Amino acid sequence: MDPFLKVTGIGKSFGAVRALHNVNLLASKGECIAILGENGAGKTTFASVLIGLYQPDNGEIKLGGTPVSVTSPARAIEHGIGMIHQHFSLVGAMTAEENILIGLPSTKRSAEARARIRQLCSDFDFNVDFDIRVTEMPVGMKQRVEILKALFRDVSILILDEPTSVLAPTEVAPFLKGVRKLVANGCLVFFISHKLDEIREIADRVMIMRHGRVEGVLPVATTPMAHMSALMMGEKPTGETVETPKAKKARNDTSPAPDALVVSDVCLTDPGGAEILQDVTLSVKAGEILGIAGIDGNGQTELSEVITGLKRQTSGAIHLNGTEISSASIASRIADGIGFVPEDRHAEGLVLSLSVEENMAFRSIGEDRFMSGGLISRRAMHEIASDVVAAFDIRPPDPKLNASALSGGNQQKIVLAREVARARNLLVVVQPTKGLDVGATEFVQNQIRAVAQSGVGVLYISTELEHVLDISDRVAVMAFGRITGVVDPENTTLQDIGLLMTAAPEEE
Amino acid sequence: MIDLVLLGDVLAGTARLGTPIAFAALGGVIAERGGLYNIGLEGQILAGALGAAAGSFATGSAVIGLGCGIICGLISGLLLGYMSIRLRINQLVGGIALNLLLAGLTAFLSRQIFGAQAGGARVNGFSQIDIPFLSDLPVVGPSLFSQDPLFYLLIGLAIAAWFWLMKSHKGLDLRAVGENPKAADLAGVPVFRMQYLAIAVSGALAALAGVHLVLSQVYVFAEGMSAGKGFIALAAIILGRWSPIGAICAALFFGFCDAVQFKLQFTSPEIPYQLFLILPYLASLIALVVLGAKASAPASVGLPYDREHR
Amino acid sequence: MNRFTMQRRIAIALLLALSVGGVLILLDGHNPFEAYKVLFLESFLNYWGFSNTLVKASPILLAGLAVIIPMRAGVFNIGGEGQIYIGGLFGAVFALAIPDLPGLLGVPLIFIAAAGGGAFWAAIPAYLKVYRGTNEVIVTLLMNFIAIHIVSYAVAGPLLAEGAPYPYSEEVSEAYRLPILMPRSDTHVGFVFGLAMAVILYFWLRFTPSGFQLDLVGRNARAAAYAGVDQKKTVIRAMLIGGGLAGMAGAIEVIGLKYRLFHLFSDGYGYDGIVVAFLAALNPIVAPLTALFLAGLSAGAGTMQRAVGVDSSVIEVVEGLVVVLVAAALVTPRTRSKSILKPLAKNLRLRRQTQRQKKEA
Repeated sequence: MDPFLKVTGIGKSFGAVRALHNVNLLASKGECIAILGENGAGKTTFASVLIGLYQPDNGEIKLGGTPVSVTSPARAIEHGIGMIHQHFSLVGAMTAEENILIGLPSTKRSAEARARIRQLCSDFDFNVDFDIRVTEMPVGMKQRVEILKALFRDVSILILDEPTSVLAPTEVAPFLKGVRKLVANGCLVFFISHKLDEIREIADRVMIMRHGRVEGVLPVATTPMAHMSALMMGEKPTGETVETPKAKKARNDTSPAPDALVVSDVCLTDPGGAEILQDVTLSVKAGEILGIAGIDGNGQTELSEVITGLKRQTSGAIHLNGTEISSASIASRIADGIGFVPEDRHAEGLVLSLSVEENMAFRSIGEDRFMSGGLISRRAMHEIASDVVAAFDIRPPDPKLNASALSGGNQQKIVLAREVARARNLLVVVQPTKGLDVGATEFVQNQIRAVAQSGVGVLYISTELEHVLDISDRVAVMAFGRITGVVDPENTTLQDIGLLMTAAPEEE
Repeated sequence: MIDLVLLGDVLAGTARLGTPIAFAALGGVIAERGGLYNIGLEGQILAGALGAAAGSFATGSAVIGLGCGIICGLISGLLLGYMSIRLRINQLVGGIALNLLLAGLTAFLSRQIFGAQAGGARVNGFSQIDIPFLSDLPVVGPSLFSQDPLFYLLIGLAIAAWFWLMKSHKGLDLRAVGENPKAADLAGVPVFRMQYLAIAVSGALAALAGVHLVLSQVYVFAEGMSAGKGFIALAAIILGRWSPIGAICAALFFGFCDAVQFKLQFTSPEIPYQLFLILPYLASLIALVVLGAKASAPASVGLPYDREHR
Repeated sequence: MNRFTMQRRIAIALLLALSVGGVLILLDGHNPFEAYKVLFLESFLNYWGFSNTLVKASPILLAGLAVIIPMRAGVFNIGGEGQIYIGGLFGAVFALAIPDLPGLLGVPLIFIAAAGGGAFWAAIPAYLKVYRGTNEVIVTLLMNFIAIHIVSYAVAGPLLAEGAPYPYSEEVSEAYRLPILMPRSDTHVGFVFGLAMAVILYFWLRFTPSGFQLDLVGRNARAAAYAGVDQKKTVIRAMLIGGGLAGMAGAIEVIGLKYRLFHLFSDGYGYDGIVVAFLAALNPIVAPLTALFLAGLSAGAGTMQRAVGVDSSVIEVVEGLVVVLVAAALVTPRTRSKSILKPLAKNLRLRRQTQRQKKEA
C-alpha cells in the first residue's frame, strides 16, 4: 500500500543558495513528525513547499500514491494541507464561527455547518468561546480557532510553525493535548520546533534538518536528546571540542576591566502574558565582546531593545558604567554613548527614503559635529558621510544617494558606521551579518573587534553560531527568554551549546 | 404642553431633511465596511441628482430618472474604486478630487442639457404615497406615512443592507475584507472584487440621495445642490457606529436637529439655533471618544490592500 | 524613480487634465486654445487678474502648509477648515475687543490669537489620537462642522453688527487691516506671509533637529523611535503647528480681505489645502506654486467665462482631474524613495498593525 505522504528528492534554490537539498520523507496518517533544526536549516522552506508558497525546483510530492502539484495555499487546502503560521490571520472583530466561515462557498456555510464547527470543537476537546470576538480571546484560543479553521476545511495534513512560542506557559499543556487528539484522529501533523522537551512529549518521529538536508528521521522515543542536538548542530555525537580557527584575540585577561553593562534580573512579559524574558542577568566588561547565542525568537531581540530603551522591562535593573539607566529614555541612552545596530535594518536601522548622509546622521542629529550655529550643517553631514563612505568602502560612493539604492551589505555598513562612531561605552549589535556575503561579514566583524579593542563593551547577538563563537570572548546562550548558560567559546562543544539552546532537561 | 402641529412639522422635516443624508450614509457604511473611505459621497450625490434630472427631463418619467441617477452613481463609485483599489491613491485625496471633478462636471453638463436657463427646467418627480390608515394617524401620520416612494425605499434598503451585511455570507466576506484583507484573502475571499462591488453600491446609494433631492424635493437640478450632505453623511456613519440601521437613525437625527433649528429660527429667535446644528456632531464626537471607534470602525478602512506587502 | 521622471509624470498629468478640459470646451462650442490663453494670461499676467489669484492663493497656501506639516509627521489633518474658522473667530474677537492698539502691535497679536485658536482646535484631535488612539481623520472632520456652526452662532449672536442684514460682525479698526500689496486692488500681503511661512517651514524641516525629527516620524516611525524621538510629542507638535497655520489663514481672511467676520467666510479653503499639499508632494517650498496654480485656475475661470463664453465649471473639472492624475502619478507602485507618500502609507500600515496587535492582545 502507498504511504499517505511521500516526498521524494525535493530541492529548492534561491539564487546560489541551496535552501533544500534532496529531501525525502515518508509519512502516514495519525503521525506527528517534529521538524528540528537551526535557523536557516530549511524547516520553513520545506513547509512552504508543502503548502504551495514555494515551488520546488525538483522532486515530487505524492499523496496517497498520486503525484500532486501544490501551486498555491488555496490548492494546498484543496489537497487537505494546511499550515498555522506564528502570526495568525484572523479577523479580530469577528467571532470564531465567523472567522471559520469566511470565504467558503455558500454550500459549506449552511446552518448545519455551524453545528459541525461545534462538533469539531468538542471532538478535539478544544476550549473555544463562541460568544466572544477574536480580539477578546487569549492567544491560545486564537490558535485553536486557526486550527479549527484548517480542520473545517478538511485538512488532513497540518503544519504547525513554532506553535508554542506565542503561548503563555499555562497554555502549552492544553495545546499539546489538543495536538495529540488531532493525531489520534488520523491527522498527519508536522510540528516545527526547537524545543526538545516538547518534541519528546508530542512527536512520534523527529526529522532533523541542517543546511537544507535531512540529517535523519528518527523515532523520538528511542533517540537520546543529546543525539538529536548533535545532529542539529552538525557534529558527531561524541563530545569532541570545537576547533576554533579564529584569529587570535587580543585579550587582556590580566587586568580586570570594569563592567560596562550590567543587566540584573530583567523580566519582560508581553500583554498576552507570555514571558519573553525571565530573570536575565549578565554583564559586559569594557573592551569585552559578550556573544549571545540562541535560536531566533528566544528573547534576544527583546533583550537588545530593553538594553537600548526601546522596550521597558517588567522588572529588573540595567546599569551602564555603574549608573542605573533602567528607566532612562532612548534619547538619554543614545546620549550616554550606547550604539545599537538593530536586527531589522530596513524597518528600523535606516530610513530608506532618506539619503546615505542623512542616514549617517539621523540618530545623532543634535550632536555638535552635525551642527553649526544652532542649525543642522548639511555640509558637515556631507563631509562626515563622505569620510565614512571612503573608510567603510560603501558603494556606490555617493552620500547623496537614497539608502534604498544600496545593496544590503552597504546598507549595513551605514548603520554600523553610524553606531560605531557613537558607541563610547557600549555597542549592542543584533544579527549584524544577516544576509551579508563573506567579504562584508568579515568587514563587519573586524569593525566590531576594533570597537572592543578601543575599550568599548560589545554585546553581540546573533543566531549564526559560528560567528558568535568566532568573535566573542564569552558566549551566553539564551533559550525561552532565559540565559541557559555562559560558556567559554574556546573550551566548549557544539553539542553542549546545542543542549543549552534547546534547554533540554538536565538529566540528559 | 407640546405643540402637536409643531411636532408634526418637525417630524415631517426630519424625514425630508434626513432622507438624503441617510441614503449617503448608508452608501458610506457599505464602502467603509469593505475597507474603503468614500469621501466622494458629496460628488456622487450630485451625479445622482443630475442623472435623475436628465433622465426625467428627457423622458418625462420619474422612474427612468431614478434609473439614470443610480447608473450615474454606480459609475462614479467605480471611478473612485479604480482610484482607491487599483491606483491606490490616498483615499481621502481621491475622494476630494472626485468631489471637485463631479461638482464641475455636473454643473457643466447641466448647462449642456438644460440650456442656459439652468435650474429653470422643472422635471417630473415622485408624488407622496399615503399609506392607508397609517397616514390618517395624528402627528406621525402625515409626517411618516405620507412620504414619497424614495423614503419607503430607504427604509427597505436599510433593512436589506443590514441583513446582507450582517447575516449573509457575502456580507460576512465583505466585513472580513474591511477588517483584515490579508486574512480574507488567505481564506479565499476575492478581496478586490468585493471592494469594487462595495464602492459601486456605495456610489449608487449616495446617488439616491441626489435622486431624492431632485425627484422628491425640488424637481430641478441645481449646481452644488448637495450642499455638504455628503460630508454630514460621513459624520452620520460615525454616530451610527458603522451599522446600516445605526447610520439611518443617525442621519434622521441629523435631519431632526436641522428641522428643529429651522423651526427655532422662526418661533424662538432667542435660542441659538446653532446649538441644534452642533448637537449631532458633538454627539458623534462624544460617541467616538467615550465608546471608542476601534470597537466598531472597520480596522483596515482607508488602507489600500497590497497582496505582496507585509 | 528619480526626481526627473517624477516631474515628467506630473507634467504629463497636467497636460492630460488640460486636454480633457479642452475637449469639454470644444463640446461647449469654443476654441480651447483661445480659452486657455485667456485663462492663464488673465490669472497670471494681467494686473487685476493676478491680484485676484494672489487673494485666492493666500488662504489655501496656509491651509496647504497646515496639511503638510502634520502629514510629514504621519498625521492626516483634515481639520484645516475648522481651524480656519476658529482662528478667524479668535482673531476677530481679539481685534474687536481691543480695538485701540497701534497696528504694529495689534496685527501680530491678532495673528497670535488666531494661531492659538487654530492650534487649540487642532490640539483636541491630536490629544485624542495620541492618548486615546482615536482616528484623527474622523475627529478633525467632525470638528470642522462644529467650528463652522460656532462661528455662525458668534456672528449671528454676540458679534452681530448693528443693523446687519445678515450675519456678520462689526468691522475691525483701520489700524488692524493688512497692508495692500498691489495698489488699487484687494491684494493684501497674505500671500507673502504664506510664502515666508513656506520658506521657514522648509528650512525648519531641513536644518533644525526638531524639524528633521518630525520628518523622521512620518517617514519611518520605528526608525524615529530608535533614534530616540518622542513620537507623541512630535505628533502633537505637528498638529499644533498645522492648526496654528490654518488659524492664521482665518485671521488673514478677516483682517486682510473682508475686515469683518462673516458666516461661512471660508469657502472650503481647508479642503483646498489638502489638494495644495498633495500636489506639492508634501514639500513646503513647492506649496506656494501649487497654491498659485489652483488659485489661478479658479480666478481665471470667471474671466474665461466672460471673455470667451466658456462655462467656468469646465475649470472645476480640470481641477478635479489634475488632483486625480497628479496623485496617481505620485503614488503608482513604481514610485520609490524620494516621495514621502509611500513611506507614509507604509507607516500608516505599520501603525495600524501595531494598533491591531495591541487591540488583539
